Amino acid sequence: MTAPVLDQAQRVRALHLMREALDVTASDRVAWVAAQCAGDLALNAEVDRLLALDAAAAGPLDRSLSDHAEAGEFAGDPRIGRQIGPYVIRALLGRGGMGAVYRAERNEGGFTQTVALKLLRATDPDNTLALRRFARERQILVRLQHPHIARFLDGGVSDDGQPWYAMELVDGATLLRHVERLATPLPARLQLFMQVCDAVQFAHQNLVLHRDLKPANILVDAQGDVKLLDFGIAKLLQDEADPGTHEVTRTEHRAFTPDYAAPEQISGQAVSTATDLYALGVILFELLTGRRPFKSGAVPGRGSATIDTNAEPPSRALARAGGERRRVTALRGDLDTIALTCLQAEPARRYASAAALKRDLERHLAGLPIEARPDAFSYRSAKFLRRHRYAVTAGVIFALALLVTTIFSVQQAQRAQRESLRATQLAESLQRERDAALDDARRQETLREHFIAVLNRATESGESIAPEQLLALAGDEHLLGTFGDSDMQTALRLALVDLFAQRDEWQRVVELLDQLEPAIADKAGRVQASAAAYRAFAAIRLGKLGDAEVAIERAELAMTPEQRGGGMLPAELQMARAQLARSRGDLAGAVVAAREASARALVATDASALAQGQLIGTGATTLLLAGELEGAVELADQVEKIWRGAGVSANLAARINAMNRANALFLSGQLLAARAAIEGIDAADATTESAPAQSARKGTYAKLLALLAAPEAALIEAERAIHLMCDSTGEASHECLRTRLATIDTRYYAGDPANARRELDRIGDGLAHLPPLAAAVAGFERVLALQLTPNETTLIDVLTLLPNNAKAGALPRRNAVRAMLMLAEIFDRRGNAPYAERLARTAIDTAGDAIRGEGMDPSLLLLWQARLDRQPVPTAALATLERAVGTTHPLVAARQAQAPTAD
Amino acid sequence: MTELADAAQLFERLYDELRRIAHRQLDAGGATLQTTGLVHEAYLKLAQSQVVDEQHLLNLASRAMRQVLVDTARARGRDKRGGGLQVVTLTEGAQALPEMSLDVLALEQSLQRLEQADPRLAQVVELHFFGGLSFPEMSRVMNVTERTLFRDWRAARALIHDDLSRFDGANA
Repeated sequence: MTAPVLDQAQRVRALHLMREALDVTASDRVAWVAAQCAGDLALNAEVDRLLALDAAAAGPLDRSLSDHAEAGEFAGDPRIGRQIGPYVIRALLGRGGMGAVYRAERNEGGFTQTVALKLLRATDPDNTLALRRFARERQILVRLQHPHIARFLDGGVSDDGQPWYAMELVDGATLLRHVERLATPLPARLQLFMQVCDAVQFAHQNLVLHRDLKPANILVDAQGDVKLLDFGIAKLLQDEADPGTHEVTRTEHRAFTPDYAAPEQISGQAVSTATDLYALGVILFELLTGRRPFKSGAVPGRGSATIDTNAEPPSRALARAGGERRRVTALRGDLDTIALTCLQAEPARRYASAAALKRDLERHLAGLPIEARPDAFSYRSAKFLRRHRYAVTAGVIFALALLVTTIFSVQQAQRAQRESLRATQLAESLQRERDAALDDARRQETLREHFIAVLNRATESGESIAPEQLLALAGDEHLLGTFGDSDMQTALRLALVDLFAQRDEWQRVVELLDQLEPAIADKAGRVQASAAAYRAFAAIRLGKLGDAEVAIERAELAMTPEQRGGGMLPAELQMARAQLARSRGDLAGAVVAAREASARALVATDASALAQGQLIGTGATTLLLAGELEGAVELADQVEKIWRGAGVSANLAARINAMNRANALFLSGQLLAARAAIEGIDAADATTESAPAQSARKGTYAKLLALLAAPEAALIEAERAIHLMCDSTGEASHECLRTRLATIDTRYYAGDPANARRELDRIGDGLAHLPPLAAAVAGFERVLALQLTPNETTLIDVLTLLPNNAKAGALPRRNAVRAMLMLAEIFDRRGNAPYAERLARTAIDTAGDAIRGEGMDPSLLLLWQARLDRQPVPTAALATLERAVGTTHPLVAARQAQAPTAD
Repeated sequence: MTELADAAQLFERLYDELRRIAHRQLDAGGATLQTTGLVHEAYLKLAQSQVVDEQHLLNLASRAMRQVLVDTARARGRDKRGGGLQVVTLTEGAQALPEMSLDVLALEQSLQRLEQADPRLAQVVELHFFGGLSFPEMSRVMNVTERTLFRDWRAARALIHDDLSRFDGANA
């Protein structure tokens, strides 16, 4: 099997020559061996090979027997016979640095299922890095359900806390053993290899790199089907931009098998799908020739830093090894070209995908001309590009992607430039675009939600900042259509759908889905369910709640029970239900659904940290809008933790989440905490932030400062908020007017009702035709009238209008209560105790049971209640107020003056 | 007599070596009484043999060692079907390269092939790897120069490592 063409006599002779050659000076050895072999090419090759093996890195014979025993290789394993989950461990299959794999059985209803069960090493349960890697491997396997990939079956944690997972146990031989034993003819070998291509293509489409493809990891089972194993060092492509995973990646860098490693892998450069393509090339070479693709005398990479980038053609290698003329001829031409295209040192010159490699093999078997050309070195020429539609397509999209990228930031552009022309990597770049778009979209959402929180509800969408080039990219049917592989097309289209969803382009989402859905009727349930989920979100945003309900149901039906049981998809659907409930005014239902969706996302193992945080962040927003402020803070904290853990805390999405948290703290009356949160956001670099988002934050900050008794700073920040918004959207824009309106209460909280009055006059009738805003204007009119002309009429006006607005849902109850409480404080400070007490009493009545918690408003309500009841100052409420607004705040100081006498 | 004394000494050494390993493993908290079981099996097999001279004893001891390991591996359930064929290379940790761990049954197959091609090479592996003999000791036992033995070892090692990497632990 080492060299099929050698007979026993040649083997013996080769062993003798090899030993004698060891006495010859290394530099003369090649010539000496050639002379001794006297033209017997097969013998010569075998001696060369033995010498190379002698020089190669260490193997098991280089360790003493006692070392092996010490490593536990001969010891009985105490875990044999143990029960792990539903399985009983029967025998050890293999062992490695991180854990061991066992043959295990599960007995159910008289039926025995035999599996391969992987367990972390017993001595290492506290090794968090190992645990993380193990979890990643499991997570990768879960998403790779393919007929030619050993299936993930089950996973869990054993009674003593060791994580485990079970996968399909493949009963078969390794690929090379299989073909050698059966002397499989060439076309059948190629068929087997094409199954490997399918498996690798599938992994790549799921953004998983194998990184350790080799014959040992490829089995052929009893049915003659290929099964790809061992994603132990596999890598998720989208983790690339995620610094949190670097630790894992770095330690894994050296873990590949050098004989099958691509040059970029050996030199520690970035790996890509092309890295797996190289390994496929080595395997193909070995299938064709029975040996590995290196020139004589060197086993490059194996323990050395040598990198062989010039493999010889398989036909020549076989001829040198003394292969039959007929077999050599069969390789010459197409198969030489195909293998060498895989083995190109430069990743960009290899096949664009495993599917492309497979296609060329199919064409070869069908007698058609293959697409790869021996003159691949001139691949940059226009002629070559015309012939290679894949490269052209990818190149055009790449150029477009770059165009889009410049809109976001230089850094994004640099990242895009580093990307190769691979189609799967295009999907990756779309993901990045999406992330960038997500940031912008979320900024707009925050902006809107700021207004919703402060002014009840703003209904129009914000100004679109979608770059037109992006629309062109998505709209170019022809461009997308040139991707031959329908799975790839689907993946790209879904990525585009997602991109538009993140950009709030919901009509576009619907249009894309209308095109996509007929084409995916035969695709996996998961794909259909994803599409349906997008449709549900789009329908909700477009106000078609009935459509949304239908889409949610369709997504449910498309999922397998397993998919329904866990992972990101059911979490997303649950969030769609939350948004549907919110749109129907069922806030309690929205809160329950959003909480459940967030809980599911938190434990989902099939999503990136970014996606997890994104969904939980949506949950936080939902709770915020439903007034579940503590829950909102809690979820926002969770998001922050997830992102910080994954190293994505520095991005814009994280800033938006932080603002959600600050808003929730502010609304619940935790003013000091809210101020710290906003100042924390400001401390981070805000250069890439849009003016509207900055304006929204400044506006909130101004109001906080006013409530925290810093009137001068508050008025300055309010003016800044107005400038930022109005300079960017225009003086007459609704956004500008809204921003001005949002500063009215800031102005009078700051003790300057005349200033507030002037600003309100300035807004004038600009908002009159916007009903929700008109209600806010009317509210401010009365509040200001009371302050500027306090009399029974203006007082009754306020005491009637604010509670009524709260009852009608035109104004959040918290806002009405806070406005009256602040007025009570203002009049109390003016020495008008009767007005103050009437305002406070109405505030208390309006609040009812709804205002609870630890913030400023609940404690003020309690303090006022005690005063109205002529009770002593409740010290607990005072302490709470101190925590919320600080010990030196006038609200606290005024009551502390009364507290000692009351005690 | 001296020959027998040498033989006893050598056996003692082998025995001690194995016991040392067993102790170390037990101290480390492992449950590896099997290693001492292995020594006793080796002893029994040796005792049953007619010990005539040093060369014979060492050959026997080494062979017994090899046999015990193979028997243990077989008994451990690495049956020809299923178990032995699931290939798993746990390559995550740099500290334990998969190529360094030993598949006793694959080694046995390779050794048998080697025995057919060149019995002396197989004997060198048996004595050096299984018996733990140094090259001077082997030279004395086999009456061949150290230099020759070292070259033999390198040739055998190259072939076996090649076989092992190709067997990939498969055991058909």
